[in-house]
Amino acid sequence: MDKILRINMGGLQGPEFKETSLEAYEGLGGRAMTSTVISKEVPPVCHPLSAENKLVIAPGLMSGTAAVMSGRLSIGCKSPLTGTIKEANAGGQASLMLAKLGYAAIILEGKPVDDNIYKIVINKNTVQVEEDNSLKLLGNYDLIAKMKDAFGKKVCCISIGPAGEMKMSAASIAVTDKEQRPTRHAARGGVGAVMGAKGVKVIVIDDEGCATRKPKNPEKFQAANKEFVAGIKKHAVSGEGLPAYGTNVLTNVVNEAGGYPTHNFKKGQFEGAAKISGETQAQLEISRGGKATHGCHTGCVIQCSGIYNDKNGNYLTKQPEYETVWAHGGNCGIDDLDAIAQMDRLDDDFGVDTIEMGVTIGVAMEAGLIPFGDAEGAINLLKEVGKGTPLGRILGNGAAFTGKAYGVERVPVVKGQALPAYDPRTVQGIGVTYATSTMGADHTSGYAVATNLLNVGGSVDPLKPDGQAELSRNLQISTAAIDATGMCLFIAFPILDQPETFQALLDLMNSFLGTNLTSDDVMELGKTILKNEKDFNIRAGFVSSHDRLPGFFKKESLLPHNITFDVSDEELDEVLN
Amino acid sequence: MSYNQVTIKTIDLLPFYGILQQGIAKNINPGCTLKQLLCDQFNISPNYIETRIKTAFLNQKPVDNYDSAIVHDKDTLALSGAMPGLVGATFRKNSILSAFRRNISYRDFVAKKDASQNGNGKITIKLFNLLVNEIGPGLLESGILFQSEQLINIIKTECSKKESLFKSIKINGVNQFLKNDRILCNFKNDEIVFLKVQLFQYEHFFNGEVIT
Repeated sequence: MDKILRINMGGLQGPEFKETSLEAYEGLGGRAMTSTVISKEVPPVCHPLSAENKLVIAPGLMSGTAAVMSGRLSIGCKSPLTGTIKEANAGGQASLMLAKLGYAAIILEGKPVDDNIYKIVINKNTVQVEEDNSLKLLGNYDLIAKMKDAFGKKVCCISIGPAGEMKMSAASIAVTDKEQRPTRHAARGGVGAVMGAKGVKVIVIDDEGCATRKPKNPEKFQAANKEFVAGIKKHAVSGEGLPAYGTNVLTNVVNEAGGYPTHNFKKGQFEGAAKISGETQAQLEISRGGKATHGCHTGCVIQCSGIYNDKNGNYLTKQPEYETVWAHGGNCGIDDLDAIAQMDRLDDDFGVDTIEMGVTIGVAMEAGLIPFGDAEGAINLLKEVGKGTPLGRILGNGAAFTGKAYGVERVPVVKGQALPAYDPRTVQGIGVTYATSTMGADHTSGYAVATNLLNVGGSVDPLKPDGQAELSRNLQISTAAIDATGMCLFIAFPILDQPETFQALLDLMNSFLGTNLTSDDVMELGKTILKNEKDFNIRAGFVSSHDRLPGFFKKESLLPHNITFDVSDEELDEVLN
Repeated sequence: MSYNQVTIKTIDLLPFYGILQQGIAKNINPGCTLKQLLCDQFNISPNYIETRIKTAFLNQKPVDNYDSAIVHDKDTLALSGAMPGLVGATFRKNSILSAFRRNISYRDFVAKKDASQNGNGKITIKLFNLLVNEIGPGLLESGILFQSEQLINIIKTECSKKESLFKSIKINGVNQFLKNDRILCNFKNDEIVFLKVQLFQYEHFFNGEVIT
């Protein structure tokens, strides 16, 4: 990956593009690339929908190689939802194809002077930026069907739905999967609205004629890859649980622990949890001829995704993830998997973040628009978003905006972004991450990648409150590093438990890149990424008082444990210092 | 206390997936450690406990030490394999991330209060993740206490299908006609029955009759 494609959508004669070498961005990939570019080139106080903001689309350092699990794509910008720096991450085919085409990044800059929308087509030989208003307000599914007709079955698409075109702050960016369906989303933070502000509806990527990227040391690479695969497959989480049940296997356990946010974070357990669990979902999928085991990108050996068919055995949506099932399910008091799957389909089609939309609907229920448990009502609210009605525009701008519009006090957001599917009163450490993450409330920014080899957790006393700040900090650092590689975060489980698998990952990277990275180097990369992000946020006006959870988490006890969030503000301030 | 006995032979445990997750009631001798309960009373091997039961909750509290946690009458026990995600890893026994959930972790000092309890008792067991298929059959085969109303619903739903998974049902040792709408109607709605579910081997089924 030796070039960056810059497309200025605001050229005087129309969109202009150029390819440049990496220069200052040499050696960067994924989140390292997006965060570095944004922190250097985007004025932190700019309006997120303005010409000054940029949308950076970056494959990971290992994407496009034969390394397994290396297909994650990072998309970064200043977030319209939070106002902070943002990196949203998606699976699908785009990362590996862009990497094979040689692009370390595509950067969308400027803003069109008119309200035309554009289609960008990239192949081995050309880049074309074409006006195509016939695509206006198409849902992602219809859009991709058109692109398939025009360009064939092997292309991949990065696209926005009507929510992105309408510049809603909950808008996502879709990436097509192996079956060319728009099911993988860079969802959080409204990145889709920025793409919409740039006037870009779809980027079509065709890597025909491009070879897989070659490692510097092919023999060592092959051996490391084999060891890495073996480690992933022998681990109970990555080799068995996730392939069998997907991420939604978490529902029963989180519910049992009393940390399953229910009815807009009022309760910690949902009586209908078993009806919407991953175990139940997998059985239903299989009984309807769908799949409970499916990979979102070529080279995935964990295969945590699946295919969800409707009652008649016809494709409806990809297997809804834990976060989606929670957001549209337990959080809203809904225990109907078919209704949740229908909402997942609508989210993908309209191009919105399922977490943000589920929490938003929960806030709408809190406001009395519809009762908790009203599945049909929830589906209808989502349809308002797709239509862009006044109500839909309120909802489509997220939970904080909806809460303000309806005078709701209890709005579970940090820096404007909705909290994900774990109550911070039950798992206080995740609350530390929600509060302090540079991205707003985010459950993946402090992931369990770290091992004792990274000196994480080994010296922490589980009974001491201050252990959580240190843990959260180190987890955020290591997650940021992994996000730079293009590797799926679910490699975390075998790496956490199996030192030989972590070594295999280091060997894989070193044999491909021709480097001698150690775990310390990985941590340094992560620290650099976080420093850049934190610096951007400070310059954007964020101070320590923004690194806080909503007040009700400290005041309202949560059953069954009768606890509140009791990590002090001083501890939170220490996390990213 | 004696219960009416229901024995179901089924070719798949699918109809019972929901109840294994929601919780099944088992008679136990309380006052033992969790490890003792699993090994001695449920016949689960120590190696399996060590390698497969990575997450356990006792009354919604994650347990780190199965050798010191005490199981009492009326407790709720939930068992799972290793879970994904940061939070999933947090709940694992002896997790290096256990600090994240320190406020809800099971503490031995709570257990010592009435460790001298013995005699007969009942607990509710929930199975999650891969353990549904791995431990579920054994627990169901050894027998569980079950509400008749819930059982009637399961039987009616399954037996109304064109191809039912249930191959035989016995009540107090007497074979029942599977398509009988009034099956179990003699039981009161809030009655507890002793239910055994046996996985049926298909090759032992011939001409519509069970060959034992």
